[in-house]
Amino acid sequence: MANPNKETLLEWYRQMVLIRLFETRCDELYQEKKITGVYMHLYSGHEATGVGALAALRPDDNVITAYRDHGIALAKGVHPNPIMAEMMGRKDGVSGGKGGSMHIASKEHRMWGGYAIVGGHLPLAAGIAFASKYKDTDEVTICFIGDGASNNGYFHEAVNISGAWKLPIVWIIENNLVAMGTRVEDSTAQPLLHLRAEGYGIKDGGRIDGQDVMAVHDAVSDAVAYARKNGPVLIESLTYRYKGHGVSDKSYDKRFADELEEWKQNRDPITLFERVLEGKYKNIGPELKRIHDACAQAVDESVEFALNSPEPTYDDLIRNVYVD
Amino acid sequence: MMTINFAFLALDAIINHAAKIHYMFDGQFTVPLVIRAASGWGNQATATHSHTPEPIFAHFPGLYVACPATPSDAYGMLKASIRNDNPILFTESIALYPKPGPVTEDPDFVLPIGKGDIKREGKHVTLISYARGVEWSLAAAKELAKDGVEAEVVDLRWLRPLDLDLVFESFKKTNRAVIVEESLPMYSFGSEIAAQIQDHCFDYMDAPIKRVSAMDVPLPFAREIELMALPNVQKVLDAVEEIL
Ligand SMILES: Cc1ncc(C[n+]2csc(CCOP(=O)(O)OP(=O)(O)O)c2C)c(N)n1
Repeated sequence: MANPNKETLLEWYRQMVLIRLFETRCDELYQEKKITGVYMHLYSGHEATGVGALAALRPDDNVITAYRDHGIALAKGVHPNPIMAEMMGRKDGVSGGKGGSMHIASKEHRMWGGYAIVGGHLPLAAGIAFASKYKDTDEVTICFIGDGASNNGYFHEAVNISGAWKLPIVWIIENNLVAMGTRVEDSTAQPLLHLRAEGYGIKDGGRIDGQDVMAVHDAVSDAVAYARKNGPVLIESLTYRYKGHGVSDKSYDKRFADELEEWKQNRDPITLFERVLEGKYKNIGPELKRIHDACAQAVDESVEFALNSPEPTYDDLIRNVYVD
Repeated sequence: MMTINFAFLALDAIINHAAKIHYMFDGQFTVPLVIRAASGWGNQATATHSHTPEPIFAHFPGLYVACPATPSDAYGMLKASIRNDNPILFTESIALYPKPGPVTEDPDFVLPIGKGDIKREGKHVTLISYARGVEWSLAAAKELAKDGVEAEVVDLRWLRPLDLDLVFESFKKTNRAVIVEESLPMYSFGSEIAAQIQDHCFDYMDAPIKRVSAMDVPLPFAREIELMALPNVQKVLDAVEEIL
């Protein structure tokens, strides 16, 4: 079991707080119509899963996810400025303003993107892992998957081939219990999603507490080490999202009010981690506060940066349809 | 289907199976299937969520494609689709959902499959369209009327079966046409209609046939450039002006 030092733990804390504040601000900016469009899916509630998992990777390892991608990009080390600019469709955004909230990618950070077609990124993940193997590198790929996405055909095809070809990949199902408004038990006869590993002949990494960043990190570290040497692992991380599916989902808060309140009160990943840190280190409070303030400032700066970035032009509209 | 963008995951089932089974087994089986799907771009849905791919489906014999432009048409066409034994893709323009219109209470109001409709009569130019394009065409016709130009608006309603007679009849009267579509320009509704008109109405043509469609690019997120890429009433007016 890994034994991360204080500096590492505080870095995880910083990332989790940064994600929460970034997402909260995005929500406000949407209400203020500074971020527009019909799609924006927040990562609030999931922070421990993204941060704990990606902390198990090396910088040259890969990550790919669906549309709930801002938090993953932040956790992989992408600067908040170009992410926020992308949220606003500006030229200095990671994808030049052409991708928007659902398509945050940074090649430099080995963040291969957010993808909007449910399940569509799983074959891409298998392909990335295949390339690592084919080129004889020892890189690993983490692919995040929604519980809903785990029922789509792409899941079966990609996870199956990863097993057949022993690809260096860790599949992490972020089971937040609901796909848009459909609960796992209404779409899946076997609600223990990690058990599917057996059907594909790959390692079952079990169901983990996705709100406990230390537990996530432990489990994913083992999985990554295994994947680097032997082949795929499937992990199910139990988590919860705090906001509606996306900005156009207006009924979530009411529909799942009790459950939502319960998770916020008792299973909030940041609060839980603060307790761990307070237990471990005497008088850490002021330090946590400093970290929090620095994150708030970083988010402020990202908004400033985005607002000052120009809009894309006609030339951008027609560029990169093809490779020149 | 939530939106037609997700139909791509089911293309094989729709095109290789639903559309082929009746023919392949020489009529032994029927596929009385109606696939409803919301379609269209708008509001920065970005490249994967902004398709209007109706013409792709209309490419394949064995499938009918319904694309209503008004609530009443949607009602009558959906009734017709459900009562028909062929597989039918029934698309509903997302942008038209919030636009109300009268609908009969008659449970047997059924519109004929494959019959288009003249949505506005005119004699100087024909605007040929379907679904959301009808809305732009009607708005353009209204503008043109202010300058004394009477545009006829043909709403084909169905991409398959295609009511070419209605198109030819109108064209023979106006001798000019602009085809208005929400979808992409290459290998499109517009290409098909233009080809059919020149073939069947060559002696009646007084001007080149114009097409207004989305630009030939994937749709970006950023609002300004997304709007640049999309058809609108002004683009229809500009096209009409070129051939009058
Ligand atoms: C192929 C496809 N079908 C449907 C949709 C619409 N859709 C977007 S997200 C979503 C729910 C996915 O839920 P889940 O995989 O659990 O991920 P979560 O949103 O909970 O992170 C659906 C149905 C889509 N984008 N792509």
